[in-house]
Amino acid sequence: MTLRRGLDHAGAALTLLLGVGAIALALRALAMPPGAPTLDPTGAFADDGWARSCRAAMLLVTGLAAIGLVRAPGLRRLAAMGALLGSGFGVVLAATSLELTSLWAGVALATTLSPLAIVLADTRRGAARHALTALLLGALASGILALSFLALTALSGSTHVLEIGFKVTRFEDSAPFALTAVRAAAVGAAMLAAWAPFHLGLPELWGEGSAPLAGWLAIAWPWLGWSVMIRLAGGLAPALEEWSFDAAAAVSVFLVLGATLPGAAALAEQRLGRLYALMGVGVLSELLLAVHARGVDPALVAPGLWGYSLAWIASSAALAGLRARLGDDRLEAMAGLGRRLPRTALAASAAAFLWVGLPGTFSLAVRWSLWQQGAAGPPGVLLLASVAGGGFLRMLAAGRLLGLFYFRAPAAGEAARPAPPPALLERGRWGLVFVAALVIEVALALGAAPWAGRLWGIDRVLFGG
Amino acid sequence: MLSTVMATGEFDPAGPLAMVVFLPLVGALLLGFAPKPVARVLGRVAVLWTLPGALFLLAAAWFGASGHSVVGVRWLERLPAGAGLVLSIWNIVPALLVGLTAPLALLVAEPREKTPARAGWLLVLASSTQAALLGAGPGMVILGWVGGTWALFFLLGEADAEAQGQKANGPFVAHALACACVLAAGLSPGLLPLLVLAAAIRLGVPPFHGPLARAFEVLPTGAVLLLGVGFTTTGLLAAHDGTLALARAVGTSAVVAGTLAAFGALWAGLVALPQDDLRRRVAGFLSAQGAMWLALLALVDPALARPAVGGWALVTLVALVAIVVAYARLWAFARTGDLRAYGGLGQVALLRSTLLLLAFAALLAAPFLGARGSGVKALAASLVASPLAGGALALGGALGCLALGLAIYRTIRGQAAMPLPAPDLSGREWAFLALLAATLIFLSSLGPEVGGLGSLWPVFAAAGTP
Repeated sequence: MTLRRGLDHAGAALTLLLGVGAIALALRALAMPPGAPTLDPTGAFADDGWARSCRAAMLLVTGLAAIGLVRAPGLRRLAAMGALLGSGFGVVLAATSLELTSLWAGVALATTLSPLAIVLADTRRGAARHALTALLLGALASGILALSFLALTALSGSTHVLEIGFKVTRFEDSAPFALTAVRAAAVGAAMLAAWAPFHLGLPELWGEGSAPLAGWLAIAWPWLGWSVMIRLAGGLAPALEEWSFDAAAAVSVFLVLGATLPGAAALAEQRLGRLYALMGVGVLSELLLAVHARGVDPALVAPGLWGYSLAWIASSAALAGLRARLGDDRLEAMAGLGRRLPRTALAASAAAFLWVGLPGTFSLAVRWSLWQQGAAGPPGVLLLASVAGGGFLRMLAAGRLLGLFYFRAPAAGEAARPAPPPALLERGRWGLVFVAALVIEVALALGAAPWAGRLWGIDRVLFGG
Repeated sequence: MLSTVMATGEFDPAGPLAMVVFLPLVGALLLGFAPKPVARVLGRVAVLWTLPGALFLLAAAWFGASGHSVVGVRWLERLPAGAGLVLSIWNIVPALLVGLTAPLALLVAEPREKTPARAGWLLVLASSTQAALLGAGPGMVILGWVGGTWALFFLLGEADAEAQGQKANGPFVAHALACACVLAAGLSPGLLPLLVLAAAIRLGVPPFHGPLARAFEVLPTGAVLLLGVGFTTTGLLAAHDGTLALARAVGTSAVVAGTLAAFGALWAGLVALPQDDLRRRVAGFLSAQGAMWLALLALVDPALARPAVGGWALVTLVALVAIVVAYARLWAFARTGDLRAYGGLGQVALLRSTLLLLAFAALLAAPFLGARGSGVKALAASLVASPLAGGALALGGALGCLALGLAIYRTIRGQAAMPLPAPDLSGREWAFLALLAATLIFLSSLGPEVGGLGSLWPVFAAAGTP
C-alpha cells in the first residue's frame, strides 16, 4: 500500500514536472527572438512561423492539460500524459511537414493517440463513448486524407507539397480528379478543424469530457486541421491558379454554415460545456475568412487560432471549477449562480463573453482583423452577413446564460446545492489557469501583440507564393 | 483597438476624450469588484465618475464656440491599443447631451433603493453611449452599441427581479439584432443600409416600439433618462447614415423605407394614446417621434432634413430630460407608472406643474425652435413629396404629442384615486433646473458651425467625414 502510494505521488510529481516543463518551453518559444525560416537538409520539414506557432501552442496546451491530469488515478495519468505528448508530437509533425507522408503520419499519430488518452485518464461517465467518437472521427479524417494524398501523389509523381503544386497539372485531363482529391482533403481537414457541417460530433466530445482532455482536443485538433490546409494550400498554389480554382468560394459554404448553425444550436443547449463548444465552433469557422482565392494566409490563421486557444483555456478552467462545485454542468442547476457562487459565475460569464467578444482581449482583436480581411476581399455580402448573424446568435446564447446566472432565483433541491469548496490547491489551480489566460489575452491585446506577432512571420517562399 | 487604421501623426495620445469614455467604465469595474461595504459607498458617489467628462465636454463646446469654426472643436485621440476617438462638430452636441444627462441619471430620485450594481451598469451605459458617439472607426462604434445593449440587459434584469428577468429578454434580443446590423454595416459598405434597421430598433420605430415601451416601464428612472437620450442620439446617427446608404444603393428603397417609417409613426402614435402607464406613454411618444425623424431623413432632401431633424431632436431630448426629472419624485412616491395614481399636481406643486407645462410646450414648439424652423419646412416638404406618407407622419407625431400631453394634463388637473404627497421642487431639483436652463442658453449661444439651437445640429457626418 505504501509503495503504491509512493508510486502514485511520484507519478503525480512527474506529471506536474512534465506539465510545468512544457509550459516553460512554450514560454521560451514565445520569448525567443525571431529567426529566419529554415528547411531541414532533406527539404521535408520546415521550421517557419507556422511550425513555431503551432509548436508553442501545443507545448502550452499539453502542459496545462498535464497539470489537470494530476487528478487521474494512479499510473494512468503518466500513460495518459505519454499519449498526449505523442499526440501533440503528431500535431507538430504535421505542422512542420512538407512531405505528404510525414504530414499524414502526423495526422494519424495525433488522431490515434488522443482517444487513448481519454480512455486512460477520463473517469467521467461517457468517457468510452467520447473516446470512440474521437477515434471514429479521427480515423475518418485520416482515411479521407490518406486517399486524397494518394491521389495527389499518383498524379504528380511526388510526395513533396511544393513539387506537387507544379507537377500535378502535368496531365490536363486529370484536373477534375485532382480537384476532387483537393476537395476531399478539405473535408478531412474540416473534420479536424470543426467546419460545419462536419462539426456535429465535436460539441459532445469537447463539451462533455473532462476539462483538461476535452480542452486539449478542442485546441489541438483545429491546429492539426489547419496545418493540413496551410501546407497543402501553400504547395498547391500554382496548381490552383492554373485550374482557376477559387478556394475562398469553395469554403464559403463552410463559413456560412459554421457561423450560423452552431450559434443557433447553442440557443437550445442544456449543458454549459457543450454551449462553450458550440460557441467555439462558431468562432473557429470565422478563420475561414483567411482563405483567399489562391490559398490561405497563415499570418491570419495563426493568431486567430491562438486567440481561440486562449479562449478555450479560460473556458475549460471556468468549466472545471464550476463542475467541481455543482457536480455537473447542466444549465438548469445553475439558476441564481451569481448569488450562490459569485466568483465561479463571474468566471463562467467572462468565458462566455470571450466567445462573443470581450473588449480589450486578444481573441477579439484578431477576430476583428479577420473580419476586416474578409471585408477587404471579394467574398461578398453574404459571408459578412453570416459572420454578423453568428455574432448575434452567440450574443443571445451568452445572454441566456447570464440571465440564468444573475436574474433567476436559485433552483431548489439537492441538485442545486453546491459541493463544499475543494482544497485550496484545487481551486487555486483552476483560478490560476483562468486568470493567466485572461491576463495573456489582455496583455497581447494591449501591446504585446507585435512582440508575439514575430512568431507568425511566414516566409511565403515556403508556401509556394 | 478595433477601429480602422489611422494615419500616423493625425491623432494625439489618449487624453480627456478617452476619460469621457473610460472613466465611468473604471468606476463600473470598481463597483463590480469592490467588497460589498466599499461598493455601497462607491455606489452613492458614482456620479463623480461622470462629472469630469461632462465638464470637459462643456469646456470643449465653450472653446469650440469661441472659435466658431470646424477646427475649434476638432479633437482627435489615439487609444493605447490602436482605436481612436474624435470630437467634432458632427458629434459634440449629442456627446454633450449624454455627458450632461449621465450625472442626472445617477442622481434622480428612484422608486427603489439605489444599488451599486445599478450604478455600475448606468456608468457602463453612459460610457458605451459615448463610445458609440465618439468612436473614430467602426470598431469603437460597434463596441459602444454592444456595451449599451449589455447594460440595458442587466439594468432590465436587475429591475425585473420579481419576474426573474423575463422582461429583459425581448429588448435584449431586439438590441442584439441592432448590434449585429451595425457590425455588418461596419464590415461592408454594401451592408450599410442595415443601419436603418438598427436605427429603427434604437428609436423604437414600429414594430420595435414594444421593446422600448417595456424597457421604459421596467427600468429605473435614471436609466430611462439615459436610455431616452443615449439610444435616441445613437439611433439618429445610424438613421442618417443608413438612409443615405439606402438612397445610394437603390433610389426608391429610401422612399419605401421612409413611407414605412411614416406609417410606423402613425401606428406608434395610435398605440401610445390608450396606454394607461405613464412611462409607456413617454416611450410611445418617443417611438412616434423617432419614426417621424427616420421618415423625414428618408423622404426629404438631406440638405433640409439633416438640420431639421438635428434641431428638432435636440429640443425634444432636452425637454424630455426636463419631463423625466419633473416626474422622478412622483414616480419615486407612487412606485407605479399607472396613470390613475397621478392627479391634482397643479394644486399642490405649482412649480413642478409649471416645469411640466413648459417642457411640454417646448416639445410642441420643437419643429419651430430647432434650426430656424426647418422642422416645419421639412414636414411641409414631406407632404409635398408624398402627401400620404407626409400626412401619416405628421398625424403620428401629433398623436404621440397628444398622448403625452393628455398624461401631463391628467397629472396636473386630474383626480388621483389616492392623493399623491407630491412635494414641490426640492433644492436638488432646482439645481437640475438651473443646469438645464444654463445648458439650453449655452447651446443656443453656440455659433452655427458648432450646432447652436437657432441654427442646426450638424450631428450627421457625410460619408467619409470624421
